[in-house]
Amino acid sequence: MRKTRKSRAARRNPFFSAGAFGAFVLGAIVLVTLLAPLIAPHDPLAQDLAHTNAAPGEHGYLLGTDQLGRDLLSRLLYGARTPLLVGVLAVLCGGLFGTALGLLAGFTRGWPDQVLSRLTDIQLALPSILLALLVLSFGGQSTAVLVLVIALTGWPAYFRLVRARVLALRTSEYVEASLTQGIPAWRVAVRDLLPGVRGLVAVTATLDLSRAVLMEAGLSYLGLGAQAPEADWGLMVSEGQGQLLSSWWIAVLPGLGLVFLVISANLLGDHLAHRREDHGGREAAAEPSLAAPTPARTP
Amino acid sequence: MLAFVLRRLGMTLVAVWGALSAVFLVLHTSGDPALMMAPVGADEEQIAALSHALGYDRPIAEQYVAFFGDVLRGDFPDSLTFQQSALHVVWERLPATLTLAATALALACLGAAAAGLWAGGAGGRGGARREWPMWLVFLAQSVPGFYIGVLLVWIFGVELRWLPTSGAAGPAALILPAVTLACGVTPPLARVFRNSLRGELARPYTRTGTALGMSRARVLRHAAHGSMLPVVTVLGLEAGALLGGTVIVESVFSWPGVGQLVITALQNEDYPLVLADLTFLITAFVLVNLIVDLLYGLLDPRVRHSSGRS
Amino acid sequence: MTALGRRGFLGLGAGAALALGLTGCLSAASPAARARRSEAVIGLSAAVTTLDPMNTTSVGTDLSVLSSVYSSLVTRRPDLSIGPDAAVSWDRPEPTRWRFRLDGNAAFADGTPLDAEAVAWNVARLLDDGNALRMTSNFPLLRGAEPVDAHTVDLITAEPDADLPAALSFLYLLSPGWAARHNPATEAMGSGPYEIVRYSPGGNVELRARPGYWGPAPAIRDITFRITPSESARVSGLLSGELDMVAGLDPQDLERLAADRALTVHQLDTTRMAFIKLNTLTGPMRDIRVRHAVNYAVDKRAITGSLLKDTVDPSPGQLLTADYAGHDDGLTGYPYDPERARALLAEAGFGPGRPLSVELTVPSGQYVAGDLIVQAVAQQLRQVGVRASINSIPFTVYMQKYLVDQDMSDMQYITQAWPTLAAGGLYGLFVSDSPYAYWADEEFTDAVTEARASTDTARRDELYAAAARRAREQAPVLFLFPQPGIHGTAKNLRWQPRPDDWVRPAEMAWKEAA
Repeated sequence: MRKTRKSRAARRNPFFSAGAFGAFVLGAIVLVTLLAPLIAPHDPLAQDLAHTNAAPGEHGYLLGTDQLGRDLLSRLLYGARTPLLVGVLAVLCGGLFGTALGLLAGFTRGWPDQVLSRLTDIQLALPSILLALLVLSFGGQSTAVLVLVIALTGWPAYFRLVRARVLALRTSEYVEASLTQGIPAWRVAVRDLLPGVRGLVAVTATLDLSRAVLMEAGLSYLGLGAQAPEADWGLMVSEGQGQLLSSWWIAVLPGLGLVFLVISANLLGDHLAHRREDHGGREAAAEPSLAAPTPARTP
Repeated sequence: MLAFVLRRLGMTLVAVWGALSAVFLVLHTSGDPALMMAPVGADEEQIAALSHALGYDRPIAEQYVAFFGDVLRGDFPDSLTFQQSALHVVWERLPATLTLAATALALACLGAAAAGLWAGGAGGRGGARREWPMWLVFLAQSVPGFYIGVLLVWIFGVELRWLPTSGAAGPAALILPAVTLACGVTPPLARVFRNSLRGELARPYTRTGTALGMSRARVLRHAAHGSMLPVVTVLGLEAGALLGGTVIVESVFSWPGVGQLVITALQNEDYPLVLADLTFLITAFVLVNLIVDLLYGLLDPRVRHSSGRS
Repeated sequence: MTALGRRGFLGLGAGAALALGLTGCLSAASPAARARRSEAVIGLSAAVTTLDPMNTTSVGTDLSVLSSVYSSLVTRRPDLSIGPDAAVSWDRPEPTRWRFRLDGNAAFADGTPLDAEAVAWNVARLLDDGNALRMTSNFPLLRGAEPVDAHTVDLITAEPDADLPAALSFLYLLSPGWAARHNPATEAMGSGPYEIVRYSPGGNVELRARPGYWGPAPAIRDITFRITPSESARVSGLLSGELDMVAGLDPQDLERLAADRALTVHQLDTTRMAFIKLNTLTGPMRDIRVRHAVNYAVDKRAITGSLLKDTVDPSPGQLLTADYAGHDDGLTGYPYDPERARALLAEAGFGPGRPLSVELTVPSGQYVAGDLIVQAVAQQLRQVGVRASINSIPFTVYMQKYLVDQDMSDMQYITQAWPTLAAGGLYGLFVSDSPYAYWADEEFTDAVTEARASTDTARRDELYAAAARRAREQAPVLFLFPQPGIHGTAKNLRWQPRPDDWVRPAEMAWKEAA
């Protein structure tokens, strides 16, 4: 890696070549999750009470079984479903919402911008986990609420980036010309400004995915996300925690899945962010390093 | 300076107002709040009485105003499980959380300083030999906090039996939760310190110092001093995030603080306690941010004279 | 910060880590060290929620702590018999009147005597509906107390109540004068062997033996109840010597604990029978064929063998454990027979085209392995085509639905025991007019009613046997197994294991230098 020195990014970011690795692992996890029904050796809910807490390799269970004798490998294969589904949906919702509002605020300036900017200030002043707890405790617990709450804590990042970028683009001659020609503002926004922020949003979304996955896992661990008997990595760690003494694999293996998922999303996101920086998107990319790049984590 | 303090105070008030409005909004859009505040087994009459006592039968606008008064006075409905003032219960748990958060912050500063000095201190030379702490930092950032906690419990509590893993039982019990919490806070600190230090080492004054034969340690000392400002900014942001992080870490280690309290209250459907705890945490979070901002203003005169931070 | 170089920093970090590590090792004191200092640490699975002994019914946590601070009239001894505490003797001069003679020395920590007036005041406090105390519902027949002289008090019941002394072993007595000036929910001042040194809601509780205690002094001076909600932490705490005593352990860890030579593991059947109650009044469980089908569908032996590590045997179709007077040895349980279950369900009109869906409720974290047991049961029901959805709810909500709202789900996991170990007591939870029953069966109710009134023991046992057969045949529950009782202590801690849930520091002592 040091020998080739292709770009500045290689020097600035030691994880540069890891971007491809991230994409590969992330792709593999998605693929495995989609194919789980075909490749899983057992039903993830099927219990084998004769072989509970089997160690990896025992009784023909490659990764062992949990306290109800459920095949851990099958549960691992199925276990990324909820985190990925909730993560992707939350990123989509938060991304669309934040981007739309960012376009609106950056384009119109004036009072919508004022109001929305203050709103993001307030929201960024609150730890997202507390906001999530608030909504989940008084708003009920369901997958839909879970998606919404993770989206809710994610949108300000998109909003800030898109708004800043649009503010910069808006003053360009091309946009000014379109506006003076009487083309409706919304069409200018969609036709001329949206393409300008697309790449930025994509980078943010990749990094936001890792945040969303971490949050889903954290909430499931706390018992506020996925519910038993569902196979979900975060929930499985919490179910296995009481068994660390007799069967460490029940809690430790699902956590590894989470680590790989989040690392791969972070590597890919970092890589995309730095590539943007190298390709002249400097003024926009300068900001993400303050607001989002940052695989924002739920502790 | 006064103008700066007033401006920051104003922004904080707006943030507190917004946060409390969010609490109020969520509480009142999720059905009859009296139903959630009533003890299990209350009949309709009792619920109506409670609803009246808590003012839930008044016009919503009036309740909205009264809610702020209640929060200021710490007037929440009694906790259902502890049968006493919910705020008092939260208050009793606060020292445990503060001890944990302060220890974690100290550990994070040490960790970030070590990683940042090692990786950034070479001024960009040294390659992989210098960069490995940043890989650790990246890893710490990608591992869910609860999983770090579970791994530490497994290794140091269950297998090696070196350290207690549950509850507040003397200073030894503080180690694992504090390390876990610190893992969540160190990465941003380490990153910003390393980058800032590297930038500082590239500046003319440090180069001159080196050229004039100053010792490496002295140059580093000056550069570290010069790179403190962005670190302090991130530190401020993280001090608040720490409070949020305690929710999960305290649950992993059964640490008897406010974070674990809110989760057990939720499990017991003790909504008055959940309400008091969350309101308290959110307000505390905003106030910590204010304090950090004011300190920051003291540190850096440029901040208090500029028109505001974006 | 700037005064330190890189080395200094690294050194400081390493030093701090080392210092923290050392404190860790040093403070992990051993049971032997605590024995020399007359201390003990007991692991509790849940926090103490209140210090008011009349406002909690949690025996394993709140009441175990408070029973050290307060005294009751009578107490239940480890062998489950009722013995004296503040009352030295008692009898029943009239069917509805119990007379208790108090220990003349009994006094509260502040010196005020625990006399007849104080007892009468406590009974009045208990019975005042305005106080909304949780303990009140355990005394449905109690009507009041009348002081006879300074140290004699009569308790009046609405009907003859043979079980009143047993119930009174749960009633801890406050000082009337003190209670008027303090909040008993957050402070405590009693007449028991210990006083509270430190307590915060949800935190550890520290006790110290009270020098002026009027009864026999406890063997261990300083007691810490450490709140350790996580099972793995309780187990590793025992293994590492941080905890001296933990009650109600999960059978999963039995092997690892038993292998440790520094520990004693007590294993006994409790007097609690675990079963899944079926709501025979509404819904699909009204049909006896469905009730039989679910009994055949569940492999009880597989569950005791796996989740409970063979610590108990499946119940022979009985509601009572073998400890009860009136237990019938002649019954056998429902064998595991999924084919028969499917056939019965088909007969009842359920099958692949019209699958039976039921709700199975469990109080989360309340019973040993309860959450896992219902998952295993649900899975086995699914294999005969019954869709059981699990509803895990807090215990308070669960009891509310079960007893007060009379809105029990189709099936619910529960363990039940009767403190006096009388068949009539536990069977009383199944007679038609009991709010616990959800079962209206005349034959069973008549047999139990007649047996309770009978004075002829042979006839009574015959009637209880008939009731047991009827319950076995009618299946108002899905019969499971007794709840296992697994308790771990440090090797040299002397403690007689109990089949009930009390964990009383005053019953513990360190053996002489082991």
